[in-house]
Amino acid sequence: MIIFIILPIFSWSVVAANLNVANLNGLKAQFQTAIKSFSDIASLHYTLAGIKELGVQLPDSYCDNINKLVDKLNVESIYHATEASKTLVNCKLPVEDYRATLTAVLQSEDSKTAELYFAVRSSVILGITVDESKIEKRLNLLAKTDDSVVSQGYALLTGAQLSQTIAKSYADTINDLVQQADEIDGSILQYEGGIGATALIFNAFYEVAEKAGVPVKIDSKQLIKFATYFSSKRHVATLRSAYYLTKIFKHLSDNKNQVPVVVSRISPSAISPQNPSVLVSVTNILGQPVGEMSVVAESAKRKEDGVVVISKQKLISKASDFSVYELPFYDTKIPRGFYTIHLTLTARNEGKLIGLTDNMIDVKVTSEGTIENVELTVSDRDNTAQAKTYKLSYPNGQTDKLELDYHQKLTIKFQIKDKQSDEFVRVQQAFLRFTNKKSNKEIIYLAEPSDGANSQYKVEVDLITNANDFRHQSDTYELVLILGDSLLQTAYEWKLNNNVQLTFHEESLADKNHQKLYLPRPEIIHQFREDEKRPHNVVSLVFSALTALPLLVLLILWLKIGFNLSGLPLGLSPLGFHISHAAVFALMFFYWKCLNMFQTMRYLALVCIPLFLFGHRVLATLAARRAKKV
Amino acid sequence: MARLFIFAVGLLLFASAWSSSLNVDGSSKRLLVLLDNLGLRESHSFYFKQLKDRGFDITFKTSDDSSLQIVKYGEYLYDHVIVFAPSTKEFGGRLDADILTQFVDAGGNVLVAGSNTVGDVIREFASECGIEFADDKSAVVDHLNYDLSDDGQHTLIVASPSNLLSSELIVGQAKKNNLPFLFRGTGMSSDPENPLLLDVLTASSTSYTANPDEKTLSEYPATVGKRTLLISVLQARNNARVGFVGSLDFFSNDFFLSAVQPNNGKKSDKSGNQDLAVALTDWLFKQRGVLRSRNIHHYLKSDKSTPRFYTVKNDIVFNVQFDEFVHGKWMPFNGTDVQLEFVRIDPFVRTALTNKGGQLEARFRVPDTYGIFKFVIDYNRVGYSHLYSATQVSVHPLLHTEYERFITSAYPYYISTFSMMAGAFLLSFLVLYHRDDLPKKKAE
Repeated sequence: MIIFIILPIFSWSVVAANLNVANLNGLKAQFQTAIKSFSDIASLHYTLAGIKELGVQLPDSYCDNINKLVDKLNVESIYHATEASKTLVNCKLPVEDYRATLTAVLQSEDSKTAELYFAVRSSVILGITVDESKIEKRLNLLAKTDDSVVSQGYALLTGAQLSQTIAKSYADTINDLVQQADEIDGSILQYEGGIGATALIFNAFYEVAEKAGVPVKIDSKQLIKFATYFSSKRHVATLRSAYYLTKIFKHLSDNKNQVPVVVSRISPSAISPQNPSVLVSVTNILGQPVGEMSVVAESAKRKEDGVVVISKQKLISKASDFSVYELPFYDTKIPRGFYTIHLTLTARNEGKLIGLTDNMIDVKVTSEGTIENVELTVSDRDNTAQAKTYKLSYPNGQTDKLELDYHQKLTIKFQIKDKQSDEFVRVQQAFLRFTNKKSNKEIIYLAEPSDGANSQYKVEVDLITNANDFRHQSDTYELVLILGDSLLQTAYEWKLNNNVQLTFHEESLADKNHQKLYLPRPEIIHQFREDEKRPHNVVSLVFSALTALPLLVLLILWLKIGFNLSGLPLGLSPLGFHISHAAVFALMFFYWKCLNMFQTMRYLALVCIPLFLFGHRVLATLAARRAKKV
Repeated sequence: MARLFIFAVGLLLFASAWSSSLNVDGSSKRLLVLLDNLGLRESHSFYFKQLKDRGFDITFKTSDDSSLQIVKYGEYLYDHVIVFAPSTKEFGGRLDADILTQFVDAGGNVLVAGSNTVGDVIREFASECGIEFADDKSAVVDHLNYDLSDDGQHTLIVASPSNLLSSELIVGQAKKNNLPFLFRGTGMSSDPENPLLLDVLTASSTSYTANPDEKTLSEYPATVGKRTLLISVLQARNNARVGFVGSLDFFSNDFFLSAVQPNNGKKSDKSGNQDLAVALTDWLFKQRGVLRSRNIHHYLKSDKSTPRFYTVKNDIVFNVQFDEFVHGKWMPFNGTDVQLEFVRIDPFVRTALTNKGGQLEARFRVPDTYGIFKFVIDYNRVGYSHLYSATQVSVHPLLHTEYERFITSAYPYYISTFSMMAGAFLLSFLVLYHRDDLPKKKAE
């Protein structure tokens, strides 16, 4: 039981569990957007019909669009065309163009329930007579092969086009179909296939019942669950769903049928001195008034502990059409908290209204808080020097610069007083925030309340033990106190000091920042090795001349002392020897100039052969001559 | 023999199962959507319709579907997965956090939405990506920035576009449009050591994540202030993208179309949710911010030929074509901050490439150090896929004939060498043929 009471008031589930007033403006907007351009006959049908349901009559000029888009060989297309033409005042379609297709579908043994419905409905609109008994037989046959809920829905719709007796037999099956709906969370009913299928089938209930002249036989609890499902569809994606939803909302607010009453809170959920009462609207699902009622708040329970603060209080009607009722709720005796109000309605003229009991409304009572006894103390860690205490009052902050170093600590104390009850209260959020003014990095500390009734909040920041939170970044910070609670009328973000200079003992650590991974890196220009310094050209030339000098000196000296070549033997071998000798030196020159080592070696090997042979011959000749002489 | 054959086949199957990878680009559109219940298809139908309009081939499955599998015979069946199933404790069929992680490793993209309850399987997957969801039942609470249609606990918060990542590729026009975002869900914190995570949307500095039912905070909240992550994305090293959104309602039709009335600010007729949700999905599923490089050429500036190797101090030209995937087509890339590195262990040259209609070009001189070098383009920018390309070339030293010739200051050496050779040549005549007996004859 307790678990139920503390259930969170907001619904996390996607399906809202409460019956709400339909989002008619949304549907209308959807049709009006769609009407600007049509791509196919189906959306034309749903748009024209949907917007007509909402009370807008469109001009007959759309008749041209129908004739343009219809496909005469497709029964579904014909169905949409005939339905669309029916929404216009004067739009006659050429019956004979469609007769062949429709008859073929009606005669065929293969047509499905949906096709059968399209053909029958089109025929009825166009005034083509159909063989009712044959169709009924065919439907019964189809029911055996295809038992899907959508197929059954189409069967109902087809039944609604036939005679009253046939329609009546189909209307009797509504209850069977209702039993096939899936229940979700115990609060809604839907069919497999979602909004499209559910809307089609639910709409079929009403059509067939209307034709049969009987009321729709659905248990009121189940009806409410269906209605809850449809009203939770605030926005639908397809025009088809939007059209069927519009029709359903009309059926659900039609006084011929059972009309679910929508009880909803129209005042904000927060009850405060400025907004002291709960305003409740009592309407049908379209938001229209449903007549005079007596609305009684059976109880108002606090969610937390189940304390009942109101019982059997009658609400005051605030509007002449009896659509708005007021419950004065704000009262000093009602403490702040979340409350559930249980409403019971009694209609003067009950008629077919359902959902009059067990209406729950959630409200919260808030209070105004004031921050009191705020003290900001700067003290030494070892209490050697006198602590400096500054008293502050909201909303004024300190204007002077506040300097703290690593010998000191900062203490802030405050209390929050509920203005109405004059008690000190605790809040959900009591944060002290430091913001680094350069990097905008935030460091947040929690203020903790003391035990007991005075709930004194205290937060202490020690520049040695808390230095890691700041990453030792000695810098200017902004100091802000944040107080918030869902039951406080306003939350506070109070700038205590805009200029707090913190000085830490250690070197600051840089913030971890991965952003630089994504930045261009600095350009690298390669530094080439510098050329060696060279002597001046003149110096080089002088020394070049000097190096040439020894050869010159040699030649001059040779000339001076005289030399001869009298030992030169005649013949080929000296010539060959000296040519190949010169060739070796020339090869050295070319090696320097252009050849590589391997080429040089190869040439050298070649040149060496004559050099060796001729050299040997020359030396042999000279040696022989010398021997002869001796 | 038969046994060996079976073993070989088994090995082959094993190898194929583990080596399968996805080559996801903008044309990959197979999308699996896992839902807590199929009702989400309707409550979030606008979002899914936008995806369908973008050509995604969507398969909807409930998260406990027993036939669930994303990999079959070693091949992935989908390119992208959306997990809109926050309360699922365990997936049905053959899917768990490990397989989802492998899917990301193979290059698949994943979008995960949280809620006030986040199942273990999603927590496990998130922690693989460096994201931690706050404990169950907690919600992002902001007592100073909530929407007036809030239920009273200040959990329907209004996130300001000023806290949105400024990268048009990821958030699209959402930042420019300056519309506030509606958010109801849980907060996340990211691993500060993970450089691949990007904070897309953070809460305001007055927010925190804790159980809104608690009357006072019993311990330090899961996240506080701007460190409360609402939307975070990860681009893995293989360019797979993973997105985490703390709120499933963020994508709902109601939030897409709802007007936003902050408690303390000006009303706007529309929330920015749709813009952001669609842009984020586009980015996550590789419809935007994907780059490729092709046609890499490098050649000598002098004669436009590409040699087998380069020699130190050559002037060379490097050319590459960059394309960006925009609206389903590859278009020339316009960025001008692409850099080319010439790397031998360390980069020797790093220079910006000039961009002429997607044709990027750099000219530089090869450094005077020889070895095996690489032309490296390592383009890593927020929102773009990481593009890394390396082309190897070798750089040779100068041939001995290529050094400078006829240096004036070396003339003494040349002349001395050649004069020595000339001397030796002449001397050979003198040594061989000179006769000293002639003067003797004169004396006689």
